[in-house]
Amino acid sequence: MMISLLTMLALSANGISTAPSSIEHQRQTLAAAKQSFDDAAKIGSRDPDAARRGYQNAANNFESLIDSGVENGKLYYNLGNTYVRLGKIGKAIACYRRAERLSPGDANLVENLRFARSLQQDRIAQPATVDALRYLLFWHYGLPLNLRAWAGASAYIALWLLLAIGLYFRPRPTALKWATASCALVAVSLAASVAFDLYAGHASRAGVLTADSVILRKGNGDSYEPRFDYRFSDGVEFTVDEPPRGDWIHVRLADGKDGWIRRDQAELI
Amino acid sequence: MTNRATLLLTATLAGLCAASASAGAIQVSAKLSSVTARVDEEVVLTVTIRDAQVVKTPIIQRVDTMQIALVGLPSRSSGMNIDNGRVQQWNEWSYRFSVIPKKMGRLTVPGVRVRADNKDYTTSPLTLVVGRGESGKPLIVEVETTSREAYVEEPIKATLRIWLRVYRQDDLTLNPRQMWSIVDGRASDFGVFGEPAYVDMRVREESDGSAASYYVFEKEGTIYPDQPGPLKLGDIHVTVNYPQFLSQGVFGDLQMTRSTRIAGVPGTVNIVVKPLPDDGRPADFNGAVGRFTIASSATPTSVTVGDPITLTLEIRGAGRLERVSAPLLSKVESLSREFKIPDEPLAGKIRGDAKVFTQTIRAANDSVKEIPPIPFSFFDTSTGRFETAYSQPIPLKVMAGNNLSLSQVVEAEPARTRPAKPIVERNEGLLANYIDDADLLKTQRIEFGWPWAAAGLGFPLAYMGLVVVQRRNDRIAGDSAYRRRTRAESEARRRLSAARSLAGAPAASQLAAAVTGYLADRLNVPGEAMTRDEARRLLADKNANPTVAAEVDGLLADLELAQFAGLAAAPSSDLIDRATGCLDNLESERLR
Repeated sequence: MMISLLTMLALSANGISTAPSSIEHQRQTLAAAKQSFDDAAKIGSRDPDAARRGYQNAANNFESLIDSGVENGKLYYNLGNTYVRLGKIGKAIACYRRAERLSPGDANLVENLRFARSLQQDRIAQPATVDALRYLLFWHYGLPLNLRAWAGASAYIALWLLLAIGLYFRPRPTALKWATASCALVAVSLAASVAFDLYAGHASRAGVLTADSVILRKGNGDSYEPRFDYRFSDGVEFTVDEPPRGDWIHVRLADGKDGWIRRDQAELI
Repeated sequence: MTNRATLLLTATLAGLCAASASAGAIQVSAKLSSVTARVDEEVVLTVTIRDAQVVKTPIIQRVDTMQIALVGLPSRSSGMNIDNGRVQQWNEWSYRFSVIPKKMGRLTVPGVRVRADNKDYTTSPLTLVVGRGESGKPLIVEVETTSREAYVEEPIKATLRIWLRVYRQDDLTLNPRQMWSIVDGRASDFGVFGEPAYVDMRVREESDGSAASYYVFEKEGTIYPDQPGPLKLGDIHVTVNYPQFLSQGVFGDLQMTRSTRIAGVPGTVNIVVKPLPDDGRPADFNGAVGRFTIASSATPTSVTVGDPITLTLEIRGAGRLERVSAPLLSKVESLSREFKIPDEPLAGKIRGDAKVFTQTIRAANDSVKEIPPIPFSFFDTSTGRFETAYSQPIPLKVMAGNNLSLSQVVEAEPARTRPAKPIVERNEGLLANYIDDADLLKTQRIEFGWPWAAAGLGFPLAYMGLVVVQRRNDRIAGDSAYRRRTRAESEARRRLSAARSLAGAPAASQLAAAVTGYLADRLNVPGEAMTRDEARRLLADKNANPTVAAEVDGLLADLELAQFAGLAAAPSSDLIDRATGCLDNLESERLR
C-alpha cells in the first residue's frame, strides 16, 4: 500500500506522461538545439553573423522544448547561456531565474547568473536582508520545489508511521520520541516552504525587463508621465505585486523604485 | 433671494455674451478622408469653418485630373467649452465635397475659397496620391544612415525603420498598436537597434505607381563597421503575420482569422566604409578609433625602490570603449627605462564613460622623480588623421632601498620566467551547457492532485483508528467487569452447546449454569452457585422487564426440578430453546 501510494504521488508530482512519439520529437529537437549551439560556438569569432544565426536557432529549439511541456532547471540554464551569447541579457536572466527556482543549488547556474547580471548596464541596489534570509532558511532557498515537496511528504509519512509504532511501546523509547519530533519538524518546515512558494507564486511574481530603454511610467498607459528621468535597460529585475491592468504591469525594483511598464517589455518568472 | 438669483442669471448671461464676443478668429480648414486612392474611387473632402456667423457656400476650382462636387447640405454644430473657469462658445460649419480622381499620380486638390462674415479665406491645397490601390508591400524594413562614408570602427548613427502597411477591412482600420502586434517578436531580431517605436503614418509611393499608407516605426542606434566595404548590419530580420481577414470575437475583440507570414530584411545601406590609412600610423597605435583623452593616477606616490606602485589609466572619449586596448606600457620607452613593468596586455573595465586599466609597476632606482606622460594613439575620424593623447606626469618620491629582489623582477618579467603570482580564476564568461539528454528532457514541474490530499488525510485517519483500537484493548485489559460483560454472551452460548451433548442432571446443571453465569458476568457479581432466588432478586434490583424476569425464574425452577427430581434422562429441546430464548431476551435488556 505504501509503495502504491508513493507511486501515485510520484505520478502526480511529475505531471502527465508524454507519448512516445512526442518523446522522440523532443529528443530530435534537443539534438538540433545542442548541435546549433556547438556549431555557433565553433565559428563564433570567425563569422559572428553565422554564429548569431546558430545561437538563435538553438534558442528557438530550446524554447520549442519548453513549449512542448519539458521544464527543468538544466534546460532553462542552457537557454539562458544561449541568450547571453545572443546579447539578450534580460531573456538570459529570466531563464536563469526560472532555472534557479527549479534547481536552486546548481553552482554553474549561480556562476552564469552572476555573469549575466554583470553584463547588465543598470546597477540597482539589492536589499541587504536577502543574504541573511537565504542563510537562515537554507532549505527553502537551497532545494528545488519538487525535492522539498518529496522530502516533506516522506517526513510526513515517516512521522505517522513512527507515531503508530509508538503506540506499541510503553513507555516510548527516547530515540523514538526524538525521531518522531525530527520528522514533525522537517515535515512542517518543508510544507511551510512549499506552501510559501505556491502562495508567493500567486501573490508576487518576479520579472526581468527584456526590452531596452524602458520608461517606468506613473500610470498604466503611454499618456502617463515617466516616473523617472531615466530609461532602464534590458536585464533589470523587479517584482510585480498587484494584478496587471490591461497590457500594463506595476513593477517594483530591488531598491524600491516602482512604476508601470507595458507587459511586452518584460518577462515574468 | 429672488434678487440674488436675478443677479446671478444676469451675470451668467453677461459672461456668455462676453465669451461669445471674445470667441477666437474664424478658422477654416480642409481634410481628405484618405490621402491615397485608386482611379474613380471617391474620397471625401471636408471643409470646416469655425466661429463664423454668416458663411457662403465654399467654391473650389475645377481641375481636369479629378471630379469635385459638393455633397448634401452643410451641417452646423455649436457648443460651449469651459476651460479654467473661462466660458467659450463655438460654432462650426461643415461642407462635404466628393472627390473622384480620374488619373494616376500625385494629384493636388486645389484650395477651397470660403466667404465667411464678409471676409474671404482659402484653404491650403492637399495632395492625393492616386495609384493602383493599396498595393504596396505589407512590410518594408530599411536602415538609414546620416552619413555616406565612414571609417572602420567609426560610430555611425543609423535609424532602423519598419513600414507596416495599414490594414483596412470594410470600415475597420487597425491602429498602430494593433499593427505592431502582428510582428512576431520571437522570430524577429532588431539587431543593435532594439525594438522600434511608432512614429507616424506616411504614404509611400512606389516607382510602379502603386501607393499605400503605412505606419512607420523607428529606432535609432549606433553601428560600428568592423571591415571596409559595404556596411554589414548584422542579422536584422523582421517577421510579421500580416492579416488577410479579421473577425470579431464574442466579446467584440478582433481575431485574425487568416494571415500570411511575411519576412523582411533591410536592403543595402548607401554608405561606404573606408579602411584606416597607413600614412602617419603611430607605432603604438592599437586600433582605437574615435577621439580620446587619457588620464593617469598612481598610488602610493612615495615608495622605496622595488615597491609596487599601482598605476591607473583612464581613457575617455567618443568611440567604442569596449574595443579600446590599453597602451602597451612596456613599449613606452620613457617609462620602461625607469620602471619594471609586466609586458602582458591589460584587461580593462568600463566604468561610466571611461575605460580603466590598472598595472603594477616598480621604480628601478631612486633617481626616478615621476611617472612620465603615457601616450595613447588613436585615429580621429573627424580629422581623418592619427592623433596621440598624453596623460599628465605624476610626481614620485622614490627612496633608496634594496635592489629589486629576484622574485620582484620575475613578477615584472613574466615572459622570460614562470610567473610567481597565484593562479586566479577569471570571473568573466559562461560555464558550459549541460548535455545529458535524460536531465534535459525530464520535467521538474510539480502538481498537487488528489493523491497528495489522500496521503495528507489518510495517514492521520489511520493513526486515529489505531489509537481507538488500542484504547479499547487497554480498557479490556484493565477492566475485569467490562471484560466479563463483553464475554458473558459467548460464555453462556458455549455452555448451552455443551449442554446439548449431556444428559440428565448434568445437562440441566449446565443449562442453569449458562443462565446464572450469564447474569453474574453481565452484572459483575460473584457467579459461583447463584441460586434461583439470588437470580430473581438480582433481576428485580436491576429493573429487568418483569416478563423476562418471570421467564428466567420459570426456567430456573424447571431446571431445578430436572436437576434434583430427575424428571428426564436428558434435557428436552424445549428447555434448551427456552434457555436460548431467555439469553436472547436478557441480551436485549438494559441491565445496570
